[in-house]
Amino acid sequence: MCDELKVIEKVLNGDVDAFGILVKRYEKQIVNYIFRMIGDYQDALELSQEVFLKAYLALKSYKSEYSFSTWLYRIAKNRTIDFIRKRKLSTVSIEGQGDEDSLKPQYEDSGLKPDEVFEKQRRAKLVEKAVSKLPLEYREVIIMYHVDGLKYEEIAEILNLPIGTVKNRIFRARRLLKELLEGEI
Amino acid sequence: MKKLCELLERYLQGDLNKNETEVFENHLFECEKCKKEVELAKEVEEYLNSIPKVKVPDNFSNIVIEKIYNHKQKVQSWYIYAAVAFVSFISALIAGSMIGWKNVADNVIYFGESVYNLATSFLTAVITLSGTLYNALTPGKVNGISLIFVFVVVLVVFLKSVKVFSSVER
Repeated sequence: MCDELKVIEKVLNGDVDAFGILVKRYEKQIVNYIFRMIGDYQDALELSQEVFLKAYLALKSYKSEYSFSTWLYRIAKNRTIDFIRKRKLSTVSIEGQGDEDSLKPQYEDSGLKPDEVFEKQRRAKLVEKAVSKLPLEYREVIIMYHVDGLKYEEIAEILNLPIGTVKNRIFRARRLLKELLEGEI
Repeated sequence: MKKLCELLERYLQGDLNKNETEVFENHLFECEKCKKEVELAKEVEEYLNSIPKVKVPDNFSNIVIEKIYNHKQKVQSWYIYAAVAFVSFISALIAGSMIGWKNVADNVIYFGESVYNLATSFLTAVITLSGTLYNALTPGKVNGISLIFVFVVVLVVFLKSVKVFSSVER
């Protein structure tokens, strides 16, 4: 955290390359969050780059009383919502249903045997499809909480919502996701 | 009992200490509501964990830094245009107040005419040169290819020199 503030200070003093340290630290989280939200790998990469560019340009307005990751997630969340609204996506296009030319996502190596990989992929597709069917306000909280491992307080700060509302949404989202997956898995 | 149910969220977030965790896990044997909630959260977490994380390309951070430099370059260009416009405006104001607006207008017209004359002379020179070249290269025949070749070479040299001068050093 302290180290992060030093890097931010360096960037604010004109060291553009130092911003690369922050990008490296958060790129995985941001790309995965956006990918889960919009379902298109290529768009997720481009949007993530925009998010980091926007963060660089707005870095002066960052206040150290908040964590940098919370601040960055807020930018990512706003940019993603804008993107979804512009594309008028009520549900995300999941892999295989989207644009033919879209870049296929590169997944991390799981270290599993081929039959296990096949079963995991089948299951993952069903879960992805179910997540994409969740209303936006439920989708974002469930991804932040269960996938990105953010705490209620952090999600409340990012979304600018009371903690009670965040808890309530996560509670409902879990139920809804389970209902959608019942009998499928 | 109700007080123990309040530990549910902290339990799910893994925020309880060893003692509290033990107390809450014992509570789960007695409270059906908390038990169901814990089971559901674990189940959903398991579902979501089955989605593998996507890889980020190795050059991702380099692309971001490149975009930042490009953005800075664009902004710098706009600052230069704005500075030139501002200096021109101020110079015009000073000149106007010093030598009178009518004189300024006359000078502008005179300058415009000079530019026009210069352009006309340049164009005439180009036409004459092209004609000479044409005559020299094509005694009695059309040799458009040579002219196009010369034109392309001149254009490439010009574009290259513009690119060299406009590149920004990091």
